[in-house]
Amino acid sequence: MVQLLSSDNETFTVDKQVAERSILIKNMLEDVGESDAPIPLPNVTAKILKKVIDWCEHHRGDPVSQQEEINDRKRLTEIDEWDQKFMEVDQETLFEIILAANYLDIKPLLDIGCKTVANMIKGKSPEEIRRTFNIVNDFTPEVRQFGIISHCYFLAMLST
Amino acid sequence: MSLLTPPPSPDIGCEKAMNSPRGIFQLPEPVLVQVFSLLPLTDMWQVARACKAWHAIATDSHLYRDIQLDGLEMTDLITQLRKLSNIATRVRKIDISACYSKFIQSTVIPVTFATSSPNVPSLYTHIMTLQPTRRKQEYERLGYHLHEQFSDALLHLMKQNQDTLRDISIQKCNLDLEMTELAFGIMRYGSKLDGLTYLNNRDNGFNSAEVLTGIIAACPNMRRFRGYYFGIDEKVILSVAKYWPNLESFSLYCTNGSLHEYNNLHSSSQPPTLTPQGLKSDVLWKLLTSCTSLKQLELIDLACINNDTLSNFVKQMRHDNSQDLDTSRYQPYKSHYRNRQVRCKTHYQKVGFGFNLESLRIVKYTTTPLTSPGFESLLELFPNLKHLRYETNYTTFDNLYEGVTPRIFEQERKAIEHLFDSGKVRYEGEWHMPVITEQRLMAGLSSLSN
Repeated sequence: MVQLLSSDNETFTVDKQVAERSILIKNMLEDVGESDAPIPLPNVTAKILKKVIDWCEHHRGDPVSQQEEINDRKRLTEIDEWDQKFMEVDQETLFEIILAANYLDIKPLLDIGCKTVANMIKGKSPEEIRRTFNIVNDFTPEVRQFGIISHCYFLAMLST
Repeated sequence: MSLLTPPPSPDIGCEKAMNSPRGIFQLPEPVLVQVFSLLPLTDMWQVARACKAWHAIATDSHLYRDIQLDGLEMTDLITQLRKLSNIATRVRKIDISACYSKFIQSTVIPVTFATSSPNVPSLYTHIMTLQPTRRKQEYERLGYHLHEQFSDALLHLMKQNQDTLRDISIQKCNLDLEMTELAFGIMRYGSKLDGLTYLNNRDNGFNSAEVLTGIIAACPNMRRFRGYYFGIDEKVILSVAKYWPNLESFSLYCTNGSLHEYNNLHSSSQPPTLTPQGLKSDVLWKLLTSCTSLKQLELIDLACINNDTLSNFVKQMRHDNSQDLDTSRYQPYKSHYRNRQVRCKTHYQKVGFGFNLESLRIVKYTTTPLTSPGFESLLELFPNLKHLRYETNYTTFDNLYEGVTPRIFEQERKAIEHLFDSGKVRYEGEWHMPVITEQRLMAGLSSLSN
């Protein structure tokens, strides 16, 4: 068993096998060796850590091996049902899970997070994208008028 | 000066959003890049228009290494290619699949007769049923210039990426492409190519042996060459064997009509150079022994793939191997002889033959099908085989063997399945493929002669 300490000082006890889905923790355990001291994870809150542990528990049996790179973009954004349910959270939590997966180095979870965000973007117009993610349109009116690609030309003209 | 200089500081643009700690901007750039890399191209352009920071990320050439253009109408396809050529400068792979042209799909041409009388109702035919030269005239007459635009856009993209481009794949398209332009692009800008796929398009691929030879000469590093090209003939195969030592994947497609009925309609003017009976087994043997790294092979309806040839191949291989065993044994006295050593070397090269082949697809429609002894030979020839797919149907057997009943056919199917019981080779037997036009013709002819 391994103890994990969240940023808000909550301790979680998990199986070693489950914890080792995170490459960060795995490497830490290898470096430190057997120890009862909890591993501090200053970048992850208890709420998110619990989610991440849930995910690792569910996927404990998954093969860790690197999956073959699938080039098909269509298939790339397919998510299995359990993960889809798992990712049905508000945007804030979703981004925090992605950040945690990135920090803890859990590649499959990071992949699913990215896919979820990609699916949120798919088929939307720029305005809809801005609304979805609360982005401010900061293009100058000229650029808006001439479109993005001519903007590239414009930049190139300026810089030559 | 490259067209796309990285904007100086993308962060400033989204200052307002950045100020609030929440929202999508808390994700680090590498994560955003990963998200964007999952999007289809059309969505990528939308993302680039959301804000400056995203524009900077979404127009980074690193994101455009594998370009996939899927299910687009020809006009959109050209627009996408043009947009890409402003941004993408490190393209490794271009993959165009299931694209179509509305114009080609919906254009009908009135058929005129030499002796036209006002009483005869005018007839119409679909443009794809015309001969290629006539089709070209019609495109000209109707002012259809998308082909040139497509070629220009694709060639421009290829030119810009000639140092990085490794793979081109065009599949399931109905664009009636001008193959000479594509061939030009490959020969001129494709020297780094190691993969070329042209499959299931509604035209016949490169249809002259000279063009194919040119491609062989232009792309010395080819590894995966897949596609059914009408121009393929014995000389081309011999050139492949000689000049593409690294070849890993190859398909041989020989049939006097075509597998797709659609093709039949407009292929009559240019019969394929290679007929099923045309390929001699020693040419195939040469290919197998020269391209020792071959891993994937497709053999579509070849007469020379039959039980006899395969057992001959096995004999030849055993022969070569036994000679090699002789020379590799420790023989202190013989090693004095120089010429002996030279022979030793040549035999050594032959030994690895076929051993690397992992995936094999055999299709039989109009030529003698394989039965159990043939499959046993295959297993002996290719000990590393992992996947074998066999496509045929009852008509094949019925056409070529006398007195075959569905029961015998079924028994044979089971016997062959039984051969693969050990599970070492994943065997896919499709014994009930739909009957093709060629087979119907053959059946008709044989019943006539009876």
